[in-house]
Amino acid sequence: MRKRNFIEVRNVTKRFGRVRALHSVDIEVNEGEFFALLGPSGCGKTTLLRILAGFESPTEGEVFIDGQAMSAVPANRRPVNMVFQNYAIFPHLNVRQNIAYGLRRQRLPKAELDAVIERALVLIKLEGFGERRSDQLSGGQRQRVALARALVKQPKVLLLDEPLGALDKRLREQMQVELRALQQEVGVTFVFVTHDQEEALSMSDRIAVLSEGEVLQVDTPERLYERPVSREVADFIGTMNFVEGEVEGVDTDMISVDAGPLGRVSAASDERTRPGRGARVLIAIRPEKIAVSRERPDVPSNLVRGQVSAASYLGDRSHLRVDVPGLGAPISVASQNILPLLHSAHAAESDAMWLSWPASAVVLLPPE
Amino acid sequence: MEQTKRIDGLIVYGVIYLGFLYLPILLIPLFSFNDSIYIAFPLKGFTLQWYEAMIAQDALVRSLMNSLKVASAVAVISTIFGTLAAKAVTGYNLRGKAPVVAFIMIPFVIPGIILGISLLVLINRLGVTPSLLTVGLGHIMIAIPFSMMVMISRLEGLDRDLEEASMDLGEGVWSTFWRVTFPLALPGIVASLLLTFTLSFDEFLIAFFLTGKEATLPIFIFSQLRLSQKLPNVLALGSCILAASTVVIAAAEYIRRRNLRSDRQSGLGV
Ligand SMILES: Nc1ncnc2c1ncn2[C@@H]1O[C@H](COP(=O)(O)OP(=O)(O)OP(=O)(O)O)[C@@H](O)[C@H]1O
Ligand SMILES: [Mg+2]
Repeated sequence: MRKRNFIEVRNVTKRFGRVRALHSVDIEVNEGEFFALLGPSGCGKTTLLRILAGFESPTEGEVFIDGQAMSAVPANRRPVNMVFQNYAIFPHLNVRQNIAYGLRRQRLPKAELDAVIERALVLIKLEGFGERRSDQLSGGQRQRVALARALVKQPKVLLLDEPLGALDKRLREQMQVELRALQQEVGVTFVFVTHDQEEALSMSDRIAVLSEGEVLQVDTPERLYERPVSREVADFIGTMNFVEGEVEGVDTDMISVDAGPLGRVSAASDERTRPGRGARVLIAIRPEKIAVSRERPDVPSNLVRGQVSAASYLGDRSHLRVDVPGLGAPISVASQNILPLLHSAHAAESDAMWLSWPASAVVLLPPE
Repeated sequence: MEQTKRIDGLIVYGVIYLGFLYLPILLIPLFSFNDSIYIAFPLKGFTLQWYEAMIAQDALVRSLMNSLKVASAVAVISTIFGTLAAKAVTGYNLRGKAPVVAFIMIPFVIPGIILGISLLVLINRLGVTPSLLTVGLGHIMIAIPFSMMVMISRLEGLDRDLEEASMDLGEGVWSTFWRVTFPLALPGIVASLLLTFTLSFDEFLIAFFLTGKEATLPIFIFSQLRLSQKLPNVLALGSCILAASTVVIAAAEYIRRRNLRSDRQSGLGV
């Protein structure tokens, strides 16, 4: 049975002098989870990871791992291991010695040690590379050595600080798949730092979005994308169109909003967003949820007519910017190019088009 | 045209400069093989007698041994202290780091003669008799800043993540030092050993004040300069030292370059 709340970060604040790197952070990670910390540069991701590893101690708050308070446990006694951002492969040791580095204390018999290392080399697909020095390895290979070196310690938690950041795009995508597969194979809890939202979405079970030392939202990738809780999260993950409005009516499963130039917008209500009548709200809609058509769709609401001001063709999809009279900013639309190119249904610049979207695609956020 | 002229001028300057630097030194081995007690041209003939006389001269050999002993001890001890001090300065966010470093560096800039006199006054006050031990202690005092400088520049190039990685993999502070910091700092340690050894080996002023009955080599040589018939022995000795230091420096440079190469490959820098 997998334990819930295997890692608990409780009310952790970290200050460096006057700089506040983390502010009242609360995060729970379940056992065996692939958990991502996502946020822009300088938001405190590395600081949080270093607190988990034991290299920094929180100014306030406490960290529990497997129910045990960590404040009195030094880094070398914690059941966690870390993969450093620059891998930190020991340059004076070869691959085999690097992997064996953390096993010395266990005083394994030679044969057993060799077997462990050999298994690790197979796991990271570097059989036959055991005698190489770190300067004879590529970036991706170093990354895997760092991974193996941490995993042979059989940690309860593996911490990874932007482990793919230094790799080129192609290798990065390959390693994303491999890393995820590896995590499922060994079943270790991964806490993974990244500032790349696509990486976080594609790899993680859950994601914590950080900004300026605060946790904005912790959720599954789907919910984070479909149901962001604030404009900040929505802005950070993908793009969204925002329009202000006022709640007109609240039904059991539908909320209708007067959105000025957009007319009446109806939104599917979920348990989280239930603003009252007359409340100001921010309507948010993803560009790809909006359908474009020349003919007026036969729907009573969630419909507006506008003029295409810019259209860029990206092969599989096209990005449009549509000016709606009375609206300050143009509406971004991403439409899949399902029909063959040059089909008359495709929108071109200065075409007048109808935009429509389902009620389930409308997210209501608190106003600014 | 003008370009070549300028370069020619530079070459001439370079040759003169190198000649000025090395010709006096080369005169030492030259005259050490000269079959005459006077150091003057023209040369008289080839001989090894000064080398034989040098080996036969007990006091000379003893002072050489003294200097080797003192210099070795100074090299090891000051390198240990210099390394630890450099580690403290580069590794931790020591409060008041700058004044501490400045304080340790002071002997660096105090004239040797002042240090010598003050140390002499000090050991007299303490009632310690001057000996090789006091010479060694004085040398350690001036050698530590040199060692520290060398080690700071080496340790600053080291990645702090490497030590953290070692801790993360379960090693404590001390074993991390031995398994990671020490091997990576080794080129710096070798450089520091060589530097502090040389420093002590040819140091005159402090030794002059602090030496007791047993003389170090520079003190011995100085005492010999008054006796002109012993001068060629000193030249022979000088030639031997010259040969030995050339070999040592070549070796050190070879080691340094080899490390530089592997450092560059591993992105370590420095
Ligand atoms: N040792 C330190 N001393 C002082 N300030 C620090 C220290 N470490 C981090 N900070 C500050 O804390 C904040 C968070 O830093 P942190 O390294 O955690 O960011 P990050 O999210 O990992 O950023 P990046 O994506 O660029 O790695 C930054 O403002 C940083 O300047
Ligand atoms: Mg970081």
